[in-house]
Amino acid sequence: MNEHDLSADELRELLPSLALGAVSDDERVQLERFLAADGAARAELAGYRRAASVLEFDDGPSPAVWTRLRATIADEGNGVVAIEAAPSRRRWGARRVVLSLTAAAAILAVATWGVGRLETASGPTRTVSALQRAAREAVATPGARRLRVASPDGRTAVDVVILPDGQGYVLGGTLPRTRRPSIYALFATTPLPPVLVAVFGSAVHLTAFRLPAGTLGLVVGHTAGRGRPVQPVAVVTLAPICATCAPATAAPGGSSTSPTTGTSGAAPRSPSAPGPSASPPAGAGSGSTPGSLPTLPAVPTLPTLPPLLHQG
Amino acid sequence: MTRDSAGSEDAALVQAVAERDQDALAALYERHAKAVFDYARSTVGQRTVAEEVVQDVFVRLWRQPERYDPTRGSVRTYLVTLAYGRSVDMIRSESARRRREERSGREGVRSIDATEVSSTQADEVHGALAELTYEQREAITLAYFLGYSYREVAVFLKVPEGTIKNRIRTGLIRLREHLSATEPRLAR
Repeated sequence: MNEHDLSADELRELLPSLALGAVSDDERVQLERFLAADGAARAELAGYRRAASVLEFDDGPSPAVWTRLRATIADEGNGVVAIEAAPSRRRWGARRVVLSLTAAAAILAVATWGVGRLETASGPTRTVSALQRAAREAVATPGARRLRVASPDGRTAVDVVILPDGQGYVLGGTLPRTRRPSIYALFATTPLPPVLVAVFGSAVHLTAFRLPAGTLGLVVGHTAGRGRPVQPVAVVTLAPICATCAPATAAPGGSSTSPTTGTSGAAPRSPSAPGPSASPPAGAGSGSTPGSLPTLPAVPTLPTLPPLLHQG
Repeated sequence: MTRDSAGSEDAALVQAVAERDQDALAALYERHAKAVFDYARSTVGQRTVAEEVVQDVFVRLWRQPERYDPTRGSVRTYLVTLAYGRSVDMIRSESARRRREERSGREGVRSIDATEVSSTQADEVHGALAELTYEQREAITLAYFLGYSYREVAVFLKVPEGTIKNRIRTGLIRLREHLSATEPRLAR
């Protein structure tokens, strides 16, 4: 771009822009001529350049940023949150949840994925292609159960598919996105205290998990952050899924579900009220007929879910 | 490595990110996280918030790599543009929070509170940015980190170019004066 010849005053006014490298080529040429002949202008420019140096910081982002970022993309990209259940510990008197470093980092990452990012075929499938393939195969596997972990009022839910061996996938959900650092987590209810099986970010998304032996139900909990109380928000009961499961007590009156909401504050559900459903959602795949769940045990009254802790 | 070859490599890395290559994301992070961080820190002030911006920017790149259009600029420019949007969100959110809490008038929109500046020498130098109005800081940081001319910044912000030129000038004068006052103290 050809500029007209700039006056000395105009050129002097451009010195700050020159210090930032924010002038056109033509202006730069004129400025260089101007500076060559004006020592005061050169000194002024040096002052602006020194001032601009405050924009450069000696250090970059801390390594923890990449660690959190890596955990976040691993959480979404691969969907597998490494969780292991620790043996019983005296402090809790029962099974205690231990998060792997990855899961702990995921908590800290305050993930920001959208709700139900992968719950429909129209979603950004390439984001989690491998996991999505695995989830699709699971849905099509004979004997797989598709279940809906629903809130007591049935308005929000998380859809899961569970294979006979306890491998499961969260397919998506309609739970509202939380504000950071709040996160969702998925627990398995057992005769012992609930066991953490997956950690999400601020929204539920496609995730793989594995249920422990003796799983009686699933609970989606919500917590305000690491170490904070977990409030159950959605529940579903399951039939025992493995041979080693503890004998379950059938729900009174043949009711298929008998969830409570623990500390969630919701009133107990009446038999006629809509509530969590163990029946497959519309469009469930083969092997997900209600007949595959002939007798469902009652979900034990949920205690306050264990806080999400990272234990070194 | 020339700028063109670096740009081609960056574009190839973004394509690899689109194919879910985490190593490609790591390479882009290695190349550009510092610039994104410097931009964000210059804009929002607090280190932790700037780091949050960095993380958000790269998460967004991971989630939506197809949004990057190589015909519209370099990867770094794209990432800084993302950081700009995120920083604006954070500044607005912070400003709203402060308005609610303080319920008192404040001149201009300032993302950096002087009280947030610690007593370290480095922070005292960089705290000079807190002396600027938001508009001055916006013009300066966009020109510096995006590599835009003042005219391009004006187009980007939809503001007359004379206004941007003036914001850059008055902002740098203010920074220079602050440093002049600060450096003798730091030298002692």
